Amino acid sequence: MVEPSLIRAAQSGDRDALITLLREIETHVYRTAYYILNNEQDAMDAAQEALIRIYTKISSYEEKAQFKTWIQRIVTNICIDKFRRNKPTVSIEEHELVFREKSSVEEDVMSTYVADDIRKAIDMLPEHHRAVVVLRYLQDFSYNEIADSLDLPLNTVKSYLFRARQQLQTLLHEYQRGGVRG
Amino acid sequence: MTCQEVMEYMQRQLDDDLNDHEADALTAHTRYCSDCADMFERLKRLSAELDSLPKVVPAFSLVDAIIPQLDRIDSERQGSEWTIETPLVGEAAQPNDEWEAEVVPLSRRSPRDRKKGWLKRISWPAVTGVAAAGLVAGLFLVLFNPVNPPELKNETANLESAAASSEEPQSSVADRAITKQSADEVRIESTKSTNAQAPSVSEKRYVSEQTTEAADSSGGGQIKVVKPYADLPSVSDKSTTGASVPLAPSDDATAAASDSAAGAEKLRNESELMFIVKDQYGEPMGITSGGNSSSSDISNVVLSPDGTLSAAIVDGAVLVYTTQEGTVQLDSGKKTGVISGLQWSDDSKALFFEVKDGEGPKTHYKIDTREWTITTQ
Repeated sequence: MVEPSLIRAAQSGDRDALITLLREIETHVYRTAYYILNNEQDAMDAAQEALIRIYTKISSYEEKAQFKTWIQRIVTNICIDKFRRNKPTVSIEEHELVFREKSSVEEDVMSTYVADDIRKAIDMLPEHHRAVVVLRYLQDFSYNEIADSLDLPLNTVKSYLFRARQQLQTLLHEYQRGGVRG
Repeated sequence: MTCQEVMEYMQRQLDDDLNDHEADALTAHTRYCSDCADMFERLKRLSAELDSLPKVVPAFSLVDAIIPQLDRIDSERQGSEWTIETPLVGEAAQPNDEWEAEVVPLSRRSPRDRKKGWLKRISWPAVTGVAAAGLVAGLFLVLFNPVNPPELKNETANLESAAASSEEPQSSVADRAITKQSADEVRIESTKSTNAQAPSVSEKRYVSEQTTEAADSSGGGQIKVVKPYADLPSVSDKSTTGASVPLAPSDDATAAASDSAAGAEKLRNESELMFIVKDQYGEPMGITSGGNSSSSDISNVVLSPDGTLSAAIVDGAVLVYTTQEGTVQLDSGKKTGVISGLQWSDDSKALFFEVKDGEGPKTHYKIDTREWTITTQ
């Protein structure tokens, strides 16, 4: 939790305070990026971009919002943009084709990482569902905090989270029964 | 309670969102519905696994990695506040180009709402700063890079226009004159290099703004740089509008800049000496104001009584040219001896001068400005 006094100092132009603040939040920012993008290098890039944006936009933060949701909004927006750029629009048929090819290519590599099943399952969620899950489990956010961060209505947050868990549960259940992967 | 409803309860239970009553109802259902009980078990396990996902940390400090970028952002911010760090033409011209690109459509349509937005987007201190940088760059070029400047001339001229346009309307005449002077200097340079590639001499007249184009397109031909004095009355209008509301298309803006400067110059001292610049062939190529063109050997500019014509002794020859356009009407050809005593008749129809060759007698000449003839007297 970032001290409000530190935020205020950073906003008033205290560069050292702003750097200290960035150091305090960089792990949180990185963690969200890592689980949304499911790739270390992309997560590094996105997190750095988010920190730079926070650095330049700190004066636009208003105290009526929670600082942690403000930060997460910035990083999730960057991640979702990146996510869309990395995966250009494909038709549903092509999309499924890509999944199958990808899983067969990665089979050898990934088979040694059974513990990564859950990450692979997360990787199959649509972007907003994924973001909701990440904020709920990696940032311990409440429904309301998730809604603030993603700028979504509360009911939408709930339905995304419930559907995401249902889907994850189904996928993992299939893995555990030795069913089709990915 | 249906299994569908129970599903939502299970989900909410995972998030500790059930009150006691709802939690009891969920427990009561799963006690006898094994499907729901299995599902709830799986969801709880999933939730626990999600909770225990590794709390990854970056491999190195991200903040340390971005410090150089943050420093750059800081210096750019400081830079945008007032200082223009490097007045290189390339950089200075770029924002100007954008500025002009936005200016062009606006001047044709001039919708008020868009104009508002445009004004908002422009940082006036930045524009003025860039214009000032452009002036500096222009002077820099003239002083340090006199070779090959035709391209630069255009940029500089644009910058000049920006400078003139962004000035307040009430800015002093002297400012304008300075602007003009540097513009002229650049123009002289460019014309010179044009002539260097142009061995054949045929008279062509160009408006000064077209000098560079002429160099590109015609290749040959002597170029007379013509001052747009003819536009003078309308010019002062233009310059006022150009200065206060710089919405004119770039060409006009350029013209307005030099015009306004020229106008200012003219108003200030109508009879001030004017200089004719020569190329390396000794041909007069243009008339300009400003005393920095040291290469020219010009003196004794004499204005005709009605003000339409001017006569000057240039490198041993007498030239008669129109005062407003600067077009050379008559060239006496080089005379052996010292030319002196340029004198207009009261009706401006004749110009007299005398040539003294060494110890010999003076020869008197008369130029008829209607017939354009030279006669010995």
